[in-house]
Amino acid sequence: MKALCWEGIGDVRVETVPDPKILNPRDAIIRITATAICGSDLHIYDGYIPTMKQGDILGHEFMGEVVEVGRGVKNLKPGDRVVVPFTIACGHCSNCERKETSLCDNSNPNAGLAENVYGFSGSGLFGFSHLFGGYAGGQAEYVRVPFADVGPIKIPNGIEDEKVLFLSDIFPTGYMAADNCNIQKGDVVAVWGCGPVGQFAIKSAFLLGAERVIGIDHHPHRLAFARDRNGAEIINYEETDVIQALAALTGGRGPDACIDCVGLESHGHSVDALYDRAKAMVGLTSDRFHALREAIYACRKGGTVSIPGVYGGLLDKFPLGSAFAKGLTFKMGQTHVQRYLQPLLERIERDEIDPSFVITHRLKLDDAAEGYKTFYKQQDTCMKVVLKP
Amino acid sequence: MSMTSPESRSSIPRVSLKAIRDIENGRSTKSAINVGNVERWASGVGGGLMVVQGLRRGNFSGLALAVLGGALAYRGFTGHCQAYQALDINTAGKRRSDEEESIYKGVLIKHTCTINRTPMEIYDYLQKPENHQNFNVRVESVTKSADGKWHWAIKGPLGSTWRFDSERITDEPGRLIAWKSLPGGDVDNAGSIRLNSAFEGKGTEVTMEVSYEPPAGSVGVAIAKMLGHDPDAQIREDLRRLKQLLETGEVPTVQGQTAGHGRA
Ligand SMILES: NC(=O)c1ccc[n+]([C@@H]2O[C@H](COP(=O)([O-])OP(=O)(O)OC[C@H]3O[C@@H](n4cnc5c(N)ncnc54)[C@H](O)[C@@H]3O)[C@@H](O)[C@H]2O)c1
Ligand SMILES: [Zn+2]
Ligand SMILES: [Zn+2]
Repeated sequence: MKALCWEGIGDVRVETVPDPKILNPRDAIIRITATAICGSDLHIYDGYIPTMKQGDILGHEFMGEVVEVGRGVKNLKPGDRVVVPFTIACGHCSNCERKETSLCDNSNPNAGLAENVYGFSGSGLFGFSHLFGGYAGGQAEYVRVPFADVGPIKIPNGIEDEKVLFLSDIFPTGYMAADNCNIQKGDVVAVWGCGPVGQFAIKSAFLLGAERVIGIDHHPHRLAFARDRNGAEIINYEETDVIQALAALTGGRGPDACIDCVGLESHGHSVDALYDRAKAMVGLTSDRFHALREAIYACRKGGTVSIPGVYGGLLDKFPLGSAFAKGLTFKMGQTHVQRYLQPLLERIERDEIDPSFVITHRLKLDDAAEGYKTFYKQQDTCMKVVLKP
Repeated sequence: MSMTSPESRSSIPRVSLKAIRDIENGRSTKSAINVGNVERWASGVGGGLMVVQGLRRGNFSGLALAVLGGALAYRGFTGHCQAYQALDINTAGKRRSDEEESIYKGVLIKHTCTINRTPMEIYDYLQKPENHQNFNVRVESVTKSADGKWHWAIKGPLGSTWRFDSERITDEPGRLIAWKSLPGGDVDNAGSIRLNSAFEGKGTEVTMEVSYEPPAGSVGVAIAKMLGHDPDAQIREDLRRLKQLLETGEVPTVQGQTAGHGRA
């Protein structure tokens, strides 16, 4: 089959590789019908995620048709249409029972490695480095899905792929980011980063009852998108002092909740990203987190800082004093995708949201490398790339 | 899931750099081992690294083969199971005395985790010899005979097989099992698995303690470690696989999955 492989920093290629096969009883093989490139893939592309190996197949946002199931999978059969959560979860450990599926105890084959780095291991993830299990991803024609009896959600015929594809990651991610803010009537929510995750966070904050949402970025098209398509007020951080602007927009109180949809490469892909990389000693760079620092300073007293943006290493000059003085609540982590699949599919079926709104580019899987380059270099006009095998 | 208690971290055996040099310089292996034993509990991670580097600097593989080869030929067993004495299995909460500590010559490894099953379910699983092969990947074969004895063949370093028989010395269904090896085996060992139900609905806290005296004592351990046999990590992973099998019915893997040419 064809698959997009990571060959090194800034180097991804579509190659012909062996077809995946069932390795465990609860596995299924899915023929991919649609897959997407995520901001998280850019962190890998950019070399920010350690423990990648040459030849690793990328991609964690995908859907398709079941072609084969292991003997432990009773609820799926060949022909079923499914969307697959990017977080791999066993369904039976205590974390899974609490629906905290990105914290599954049992899905990371390299849990020992993650424990050495983080003290604990989260769930395995598709196409997201060996620290998270080294699972081959879904930017391919076929993919092996572990614990297929509890992960994938069946999609009824009649809803097109593009409407449900983002249930795999960014819609639940934006939604959980807003859900974590405990939004009350009249609340103002500020969202750093108007990429796909930010757009879904903005949309979800409104769905969950926010009065106003303020989007922050520097890409004019992305800001305009947040304003025109999703109803956000906007701040361009290159033109305006963000903390002052947020204070002015909230009568000096600060936003009730601040969401960091930027993650560890805050301020884009500038020269100092290279410098940070040079600093990396044992594999983990010090993360860059200007956006998160701003979110902490800007948030109102007693407010919530919600962090869907990915962090992997250590932070310098983290303003804990400010957070402590203001009694802030922090919520963060990889998305518990499985928890949100059903309710969000229902919202799509009720036409409350059509997640395909973020798609700006549609490419063949063969052109995936081009897709990465475009998404990486032209963030302003390229919001979301969907690949079709 | 954190499987490593602070206690178990400090219990990883260390061998001093001096001990290694002594061996390299042809000084008595015996005294080197003693030095190793004295320092066993003391040094931290840095010490471990020094050992590794020390071994790397010497003619490592030759040394490893020499020591290990000698060790496999020499089974210094008296029939008195010292590994067993090191285990705290007699009375709950009883601490080992310094004296006991000093006569104990082997390795003591302890890991704990919580398994989302009842103590009896875990106990029942452990009663079947064939299940031990599922979570302990070093077991080549294990059987149980009518007299209650277990017969083990375990993968040792360098393609060797360690054989020994063991018997249960404590067997409290749903609470505690403990075993010790019988005289005449290749490796003197003892262990216990303690099951404590966490409060309602939170599963069972499983504590695995394994103590063994490998051939060639602590130096043997350091060398085995160099050869990729890290007993502490192995037991941590055994316990993890036990949890995975009991909770999910399988062990997660990417072995044999597809990848690009860069790797093939
Ligand atoms: N938690 C999860 O489970 C999860 C899931 C998916 C994605 N993510 C993470 O979410 C983040 C966003 O993903 P995406 O796909 O939208 O990425 P993206 O790269 O398309 O978007 C990031 C946006 O942040 C903007 N930005 C950079 N520095 C900023 C700053 N200082 N202030 C405000 N905006 C700034 C960029 O201009 C860009 O528009 C990434 O870190 C990604 O890894 C997390
Ligand atoms: Zn993603
Ligand atoms: Zn789980």
